[in-house]
Amino acid sequence: MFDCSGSLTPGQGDALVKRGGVVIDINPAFFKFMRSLVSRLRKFVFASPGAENLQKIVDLAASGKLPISIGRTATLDQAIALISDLEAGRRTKVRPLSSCNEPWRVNCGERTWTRTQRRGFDIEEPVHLCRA
Amino acid sequence: MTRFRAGDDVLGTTPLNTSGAFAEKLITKEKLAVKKPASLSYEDAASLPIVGVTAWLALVSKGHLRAGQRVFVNGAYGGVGQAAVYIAKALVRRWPDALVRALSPTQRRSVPILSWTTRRTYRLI
Repeated sequence: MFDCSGSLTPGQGDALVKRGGVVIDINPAFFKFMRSLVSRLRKFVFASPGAENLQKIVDLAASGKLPISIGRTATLDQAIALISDLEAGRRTKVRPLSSCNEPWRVNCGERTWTRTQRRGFDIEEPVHLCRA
Repeated sequence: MTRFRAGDDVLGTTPLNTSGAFAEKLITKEKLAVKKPASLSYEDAASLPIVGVTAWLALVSKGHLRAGQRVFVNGAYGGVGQAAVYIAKALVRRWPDALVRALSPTQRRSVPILSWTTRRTYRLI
């Protein structure tokens, strides 16, 4: 079981795995970390890119097996403010729009929102993200 | 530096304890970068390393995921979660056995690949 959001309690995580299964968490909260010291079934993972692992990921992405979903893009001078907003919990409200000539990129005011096409899968209606 | 030449398109990260990634130019270690394939856009290349390697380390290095096993991904709508789903699909090759946490109806519609697997998730859980 891979808890990517780090929101499950140790008890919930343990309840989701079968015998021999492992719980991999992305959130090293104190009580979770302490529990991992006494449990061989609970592990933590941190992004520590090395060329070997990175190359495998790149190969998957290049072959279309690992499509990247980008919710929005920002210019470099907007990045700090955007990250500050996200870290403060102020997420931009978005709503779906359609009927645009350029399916995967739309300019919305001063910002550009992008949404990547998921390769190999047909999406019935283009969906754009735009400030509500 | 042995793996790159001047002018190569590369992607990668900076060391975790080093600042300066939000810049037009940066300095990093050679082992933290690889050549960018032409089929990858720069936006995809910039988004790939952290989420992709985190998911890869979790499923392969920590979880030792093998064909025939089942994996439950909690938070499958986030960046790491989506990467984990696709990596699991690529590794396990038994997509119906991959468990993805139930999403809201709106999220399921916006992620077609998850829309039918979540129905199986409901049944299995």
